[in-house]
Amino acid sequence: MFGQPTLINNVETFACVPAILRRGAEWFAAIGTERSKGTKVFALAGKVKHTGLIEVPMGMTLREIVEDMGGGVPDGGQIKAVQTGGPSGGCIPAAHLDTPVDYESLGRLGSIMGSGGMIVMDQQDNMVDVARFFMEFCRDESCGKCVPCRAGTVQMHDLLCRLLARQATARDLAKLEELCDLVRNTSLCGLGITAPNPVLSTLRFFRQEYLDLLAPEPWKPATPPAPSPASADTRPQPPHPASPWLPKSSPSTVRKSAPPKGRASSRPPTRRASASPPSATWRA
Amino acid sequence: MDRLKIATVWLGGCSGCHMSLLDLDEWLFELAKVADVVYGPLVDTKEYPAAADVCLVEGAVANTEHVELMHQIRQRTRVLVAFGDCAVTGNVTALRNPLGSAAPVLERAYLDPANLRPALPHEPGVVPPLLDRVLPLQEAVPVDFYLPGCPPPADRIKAFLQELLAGKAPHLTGANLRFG
Amino acid sequence: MDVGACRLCLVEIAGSNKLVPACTTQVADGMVVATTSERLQRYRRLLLELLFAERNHVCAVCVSNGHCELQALATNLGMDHVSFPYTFPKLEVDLTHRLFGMDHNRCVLCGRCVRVCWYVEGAATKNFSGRGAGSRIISDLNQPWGESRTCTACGKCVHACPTGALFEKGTTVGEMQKDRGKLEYIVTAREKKQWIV
Repeated sequence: MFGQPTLINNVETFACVPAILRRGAEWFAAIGTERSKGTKVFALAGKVKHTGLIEVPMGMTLREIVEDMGGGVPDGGQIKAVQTGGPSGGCIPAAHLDTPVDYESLGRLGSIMGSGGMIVMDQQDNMVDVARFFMEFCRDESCGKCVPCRAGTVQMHDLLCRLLARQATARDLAKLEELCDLVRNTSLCGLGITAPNPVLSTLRFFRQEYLDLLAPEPWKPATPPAPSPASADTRPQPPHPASPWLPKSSPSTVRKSAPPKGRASSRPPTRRASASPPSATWRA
Repeated sequence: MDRLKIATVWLGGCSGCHMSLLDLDEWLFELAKVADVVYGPLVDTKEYPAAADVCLVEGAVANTEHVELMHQIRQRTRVLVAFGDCAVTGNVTALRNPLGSAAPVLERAYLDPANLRPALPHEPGVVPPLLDRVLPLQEAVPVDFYLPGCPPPADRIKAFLQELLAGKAPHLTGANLRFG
Repeated sequence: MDVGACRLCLVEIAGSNKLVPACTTQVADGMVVATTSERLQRYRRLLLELLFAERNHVCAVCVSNGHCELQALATNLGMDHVSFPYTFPKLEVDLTHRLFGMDHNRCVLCGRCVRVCWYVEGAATKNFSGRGAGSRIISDLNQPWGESRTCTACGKCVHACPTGALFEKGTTVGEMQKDRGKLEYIVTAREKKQWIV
């Protein structure tokens, strides 16, 4: 600005400036932790008595924020997790509520400070549905330029929907994790790189909720015959892909292939006509 | 060594892949020395055998009968092969999928052009209902190997089967892997 | 004119965890680049599968069958099937132009048509609309191509298109052969004053 190097991150940065000018940088730096200094504004929401915007010193624990300031879950409910960082943030389970809120601690738990969102979830909330909700946001916000973000978020969202409909198998869950890895490592910008975070963090702390939703492979008998010496070898088994499959006693390993799919989930496309020239970023 | 039990099935496809299989011509005699065709449109067997070694599946999974048959075949077959583009990708059979359901196709075929007594086929237990979404084989059951092509040329089928007969996992590359 | 959008040319650079697209990364002295690691090949194949699952690519009935860059990539990367469920979106085919057609079912949103139209032909007819999976290539203000008042009918977009999404009318299965050499000829002639056939 005015011919000088200028860094403006966002409105929150602006909001800090008057206070720092008035009371000095030392005063501001004295607030917070060793590496995360000053204060932070959060939009506290979800299953909490007092919702709204709050400003807290860095390093305050999650528990102080959601239980003392937020007043805890209404009607005596139990906190299950706190989601921080906005749609591409992560879910921190109640067991880690004493974590200080600073950049490093949140990062260690697979979450981020991000946009300053803080959503409290209680026992009623299904974490797979939470992941689906945020993935829907990332899918809709994808600009569509790079393939992994544009198409990968669609596939991840569809997989989460099928999990919730109890139509996904263990192979689908493996596919979901494969997609998270792909989209995180190959996307062009931050939106795609962080889009898998809601899935990754809920898988990390609430994997059982995913496992509870898995459906059996539809082609397998509902109740497999009890293995007995007489019947053990009668059922033909798929071969191990690498091993010679003659003679007949080959080990049984099903090769990985695409998941079964019941029905396409209909997804209204978002269209916005634009006559502007391609932006500079579309050029080399 | 036991003779190999090979099955073929014809789901939602045009039978072009089976025609291509017949295009193996004299090599079929070589195949017949080591294998029996135990099920499929080329043989008169009503029931899928209790155990087959290889099953070549032509066509996409397009109706409820296909789904049930494939579940049975997957349980009774050691090596399941998606045979041709319809089985691998849905291909032409799945061109109706963007319409969203089976209804527009049925209406176009049975109601729109009918002059006398337009009616949708309805014979429970006889005419299997169409799925709203045609599935490539791997979306219905786990598939061991893929043999793409529309249809796969006879040479490609031969290269594939030769590797299987030699006890190897077939690995198609280059021009042998082309769709379409 | 590269944009780093498809991510298929991602490479590993020693000393960095981040994968970078080769098309938009400047080489530097001493840079150690891995182009075909097992991980990169796996990612490339998955990205390609995402492209195939995203729209309705039916090689068997496509004008570009046998001359398609997408099809060739699949062959080269050993893609024998797509492990993601196909999304089967319902998409339009625009046949309003006198000479050319646009089949959105086969579009990979690479943007070559847009760039050639803006920066080589200078007509600025083609553009992107929408976002995410709803992105579309449009003509002018999202009008039927045939009603475009800026299109010069030069056909450069058709020849820049890697798939059968843009094609000359009257071609049937496997008949649409793209000639990118012509575009390179024009650009080389214009920029370097060299008329190399």
